[in-house]
Amino acid sequence: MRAGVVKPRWRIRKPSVLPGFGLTLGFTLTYLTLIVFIPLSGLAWHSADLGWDAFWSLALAPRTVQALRISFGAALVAAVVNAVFGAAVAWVLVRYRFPGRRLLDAAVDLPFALPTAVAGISLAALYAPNGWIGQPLADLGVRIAYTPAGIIVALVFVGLPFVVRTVQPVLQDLDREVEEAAATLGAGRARTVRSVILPALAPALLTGFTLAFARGVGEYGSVIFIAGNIPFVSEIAPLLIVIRLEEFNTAAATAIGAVMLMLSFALLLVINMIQGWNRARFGHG
Amino acid sequence: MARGTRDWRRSPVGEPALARGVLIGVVLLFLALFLLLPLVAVFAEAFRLGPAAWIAAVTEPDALAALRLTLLVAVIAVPLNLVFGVAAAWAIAKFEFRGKAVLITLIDLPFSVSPVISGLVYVLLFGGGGLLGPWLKGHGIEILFAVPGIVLATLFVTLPFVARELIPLMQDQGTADEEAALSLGASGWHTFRTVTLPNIRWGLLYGVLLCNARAMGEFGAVSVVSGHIRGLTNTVPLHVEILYNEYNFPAAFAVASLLAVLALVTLVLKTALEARLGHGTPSRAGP
Amino acid sequence: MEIQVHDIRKGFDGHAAALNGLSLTVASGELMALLGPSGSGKTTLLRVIAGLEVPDGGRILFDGADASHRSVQDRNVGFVFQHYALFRHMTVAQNVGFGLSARPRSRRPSRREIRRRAEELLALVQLQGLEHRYPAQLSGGQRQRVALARALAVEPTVLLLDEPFGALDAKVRKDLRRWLRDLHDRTGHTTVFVTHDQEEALELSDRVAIINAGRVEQVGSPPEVYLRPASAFVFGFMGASNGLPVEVRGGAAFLNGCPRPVADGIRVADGPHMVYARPHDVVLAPDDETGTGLRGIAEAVRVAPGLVRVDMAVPGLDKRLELDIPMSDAHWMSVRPGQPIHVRLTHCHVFGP
Repeated sequence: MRAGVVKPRWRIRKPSVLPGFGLTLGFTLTYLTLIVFIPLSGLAWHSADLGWDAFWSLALAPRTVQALRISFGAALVAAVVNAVFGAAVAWVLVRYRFPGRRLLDAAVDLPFALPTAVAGISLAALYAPNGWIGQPLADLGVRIAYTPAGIIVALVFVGLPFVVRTVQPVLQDLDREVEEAAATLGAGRARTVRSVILPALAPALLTGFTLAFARGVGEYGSVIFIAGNIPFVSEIAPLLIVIRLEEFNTAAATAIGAVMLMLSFALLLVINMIQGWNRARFGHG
Repeated sequence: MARGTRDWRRSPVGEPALARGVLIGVVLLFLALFLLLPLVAVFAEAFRLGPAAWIAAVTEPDALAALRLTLLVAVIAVPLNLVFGVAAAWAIAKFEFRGKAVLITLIDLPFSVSPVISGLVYVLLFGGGGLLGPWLKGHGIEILFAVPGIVLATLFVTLPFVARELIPLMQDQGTADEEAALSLGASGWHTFRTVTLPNIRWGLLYGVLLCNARAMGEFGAVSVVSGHIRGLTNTVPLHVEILYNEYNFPAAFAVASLLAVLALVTLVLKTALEARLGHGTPSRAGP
Repeated sequence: MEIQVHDIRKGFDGHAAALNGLSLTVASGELMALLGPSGSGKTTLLRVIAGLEVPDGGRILFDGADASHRSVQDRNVGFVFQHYALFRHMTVAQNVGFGLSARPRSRRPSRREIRRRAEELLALVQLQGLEHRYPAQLSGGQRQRVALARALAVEPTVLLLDEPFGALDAKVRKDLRRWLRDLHDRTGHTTVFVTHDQEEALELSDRVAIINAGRVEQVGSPPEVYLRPASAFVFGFMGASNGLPVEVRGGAAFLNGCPRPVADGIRVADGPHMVYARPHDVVLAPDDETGTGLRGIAEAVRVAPGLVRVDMAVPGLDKRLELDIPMSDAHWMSVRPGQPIHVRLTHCHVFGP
C-alpha cells in the first residue's frame, strides 16, 4: 500500500470561502491592461518599429545624451543632498522634542501635496536674480535660477519626503539598547553613530535615496520654470521629450522616453536586489 | 520597566546638548528654506497686487474654465481609481494566488514612470502616427488634445494611490472577520458592505485624499496630452503655466494659490487621518 | 571590584519614584542577584550603576572611589541587556571585538589581537565556529552567550546582567544558569544580575538583594533570605505563603477568639500581628486540645508530584489555608473533602499587621 500523502494539486490560487476572487482579479487585470499595459507597450512597439539603428541614432543624439546626463546628474546630486539632510530631518523629528515638532513633521509631506507646477513657479520666483533668495545670492555672484543649480534646488524640494519618510520609521524602531550597549563597551557618541546607527539605517537610507533619485530623473513640472531650459546646459530629458512632441518628432520623443524608462527600471531592479540581499543577511529590510 | 516613558533627553548616551542644538538649528533652517519659503512665496506673490487683483485673476473666465475642467477630471478619475483600488486590494489581500508579487509591482509601476512619459504613451497610442490614431480620426472620436486624453493621463498617474494604501491594511486585517460573517449566512456583497468596508474606511479615505490631490495637481502628463487650448483643455496647473509664461506673474500666483490651499487642506486632513489610522508617524511615502 | 551604592534617588516623569534613597554594597568577586517584582526599580538600579541612567541624587563608588560622574564609556562595566542588543549588521566576531576596536588608537590592540581575543572569548562561551554568523542566524541561547562574550571582551571590572535569562525558554534557561555560575567561578568578576524569579536568584547567587518600591528590603545569602525573611514582603516574594491575622498575648498568637493559640514562643509586643507559614510548614496533627493548633474543614484535596495539596477552611477566616503534605506522610489518605481536620504550624514568621 502506498502512504496516503496527499499531494496538493497545482492551483492558481489556494481555495478560500470568500467570494469575489474572479470578479475583482478580472477587473484589476482588465483595468491595468487598459490604463497601463497597452499604453506602455505602445511605447515599446513604437521603439521597436524605429529599428535598431534609427533608435540608437536618436537616443544617442548629442542633445539627447546631454539632456539625459543633466537629468540623471542633477537627480544624483539632489538625491545625495536629500540623503544627508533627509536623514538629519528624520533624526531630529524622531529623537528630539521641541515646540513645533509635529507641525514640522506634517510639513515634510508638502512636496507630495503641492502640485509640481506651483512649486516650480514659486522656486523660480524665489531664486530669480530679483527674488528673496536670488537677490542676496546674486550680490555674492551666485546664480541659481536658469542654471543647472536651479534644477538641483527643485529636485531637492520634490525628493526630500522620500528620504525622510523611509528613514523615519526605521529610526523609530531602532533599539535604543543597541546604542547603550555600544556606550558600555566604551564607544563614544561619534563612534556609535558611525558604526552602529548609520549601518542600521543604511538600507532605508539607500531606499530613500533611490526613490528620490528616480523621482528626480523623471521630474518635470517643478524643474522647467527654474531651469531656464538652455539646450546642452539646463535642458532636462523630460522637457526634451515635450519639445520633440511639439515638433511632431514622435520618433525622437519615443527614443528618449524608452531610454529613460530602461534606465529607471534598471535602477529599481538594483535597489530591489540590494534590499533582498539585506533581508537575507540581517533579517531586516 | 516603563522604558517608553524614559526621558532620553537626559540620557547620558545621547548627543551633547550643543550638538543637539546645532542639529535642530540646521534642520529648521533647511526646512524653512526649502519647504516653508516656497509656500509663503506663493501667497506673497498671489496677493502682491491686493485682494481685488487676486479675485479678478481667479474669477477670470479662463481660470473658471480651468477650475471646472480640473474638478471634472478629478470627479471622473478619483472614483474610477477608488473602485480599482478596492477591487485590487480585495483580490490581493484576501486571496493567495500565484504572481501576486508581480501584480503588486505592476500596480506601483505608474509611480516609477516620469509624468511626461505617462503622457507620451497616450500620444503614441492615440496620436496621428499612433496605433489607434487613424481609426479614431476616421470615426471622429477625439481623445488626444481633448478631455478624454486628460482623464486617461490622470487615471494613469493616480492609479496606485488607493490600492497601495488598502493592500497592506487589508493584509494586516486578514480574512477572519469576513469568514465569520459568511458563516453567519451573510451574502458576499453584504459582508463586504457591513464588515470589510467599515474596517478599511479610514485607509480608503486616506488613499482617496492623496489620489485627489495628485489628480487635481498633475502637470507633466496632462501637459503632454492636453494641447493647451485655453478655456477648453486647460486644467488649473496648465493655466498657471500659461499665465506664468505670459509674464502675468500676479495672476499665475493667484491661481497657484488655489492649488496651494488644496495642498494645505490635504496635509491637514492627511495628518488627522494618520492619527485615526494609528500610523506612528506619517510614514507612507507618496508618489 | 567592590560596588557601593549610596542613597541613590531617581524619579521618572509622571511616575512614582523609581529609586527611593537606595543603598547597597556588592562585595568584590561576589555574584549578587537583584530580586524584585516588575516596577520595583531593580533594572533602574542596574542602569544607574552602569551609568546608563543619571540619578537625581546619591553616589556610586567603585572600590571606594566616587564613580558617579564617570561617563558610561569610562566606567568599564560589562552590561548584558535583556534582549541582548547585538549589532545586527556585524558578525559574531565583530560584535565581540567591538569594544576593543572602539578604543582610542593609543590603547587599541592590533586587528589580529582583537580577532584572537574574540576567538578566545567565543571558546569561553562555547561558540567556536560561529564567528562569521550574523545575530539573526543564531538561537536565543547563542545570542545571549554572544552578548556575554562581547561584554567580557573589554575586560570589565564589573559584569551587570539585566534579566539574563528572561527571554529564553525554560530548558535553555536552566542550562545557562548553571553555566553562568561556572563562568563566574572561573573568571571571578564582581557580577550583579537582575531577576524577578526567586528560584533563579536563590540557585545562582552568593547573596540576594530583595528590592521593593525602590528600596532594599533585605540583603543576605539565599538561605538567610529564605529562612529568615526580614519582612512580610520578602517572605511572600520567596514562595507560597499563608497569612493569618492574629492577636499576640504574652508570646502566644490567637486567631480571632480561638481559645488555643496557633503559635507560641513569639517574641513580639502584644497586639495585632500577622502570622505567615509556608504550605509545607502546615502539618496534620492529632487534635489533642493541648499546645498550639488550628481546626478547620478540608475543602479540596489534590495530588501533585510528590505531595498532596489540601485547601482548608478555617471558621472566621475569609481565606483558605493551604497545606502541602508530603506523600510519605500516610495521614493524607485519611483526609477527605468536607472532613474536619486539625493542623499545627511547625515553622512560622510573625510580622506587623
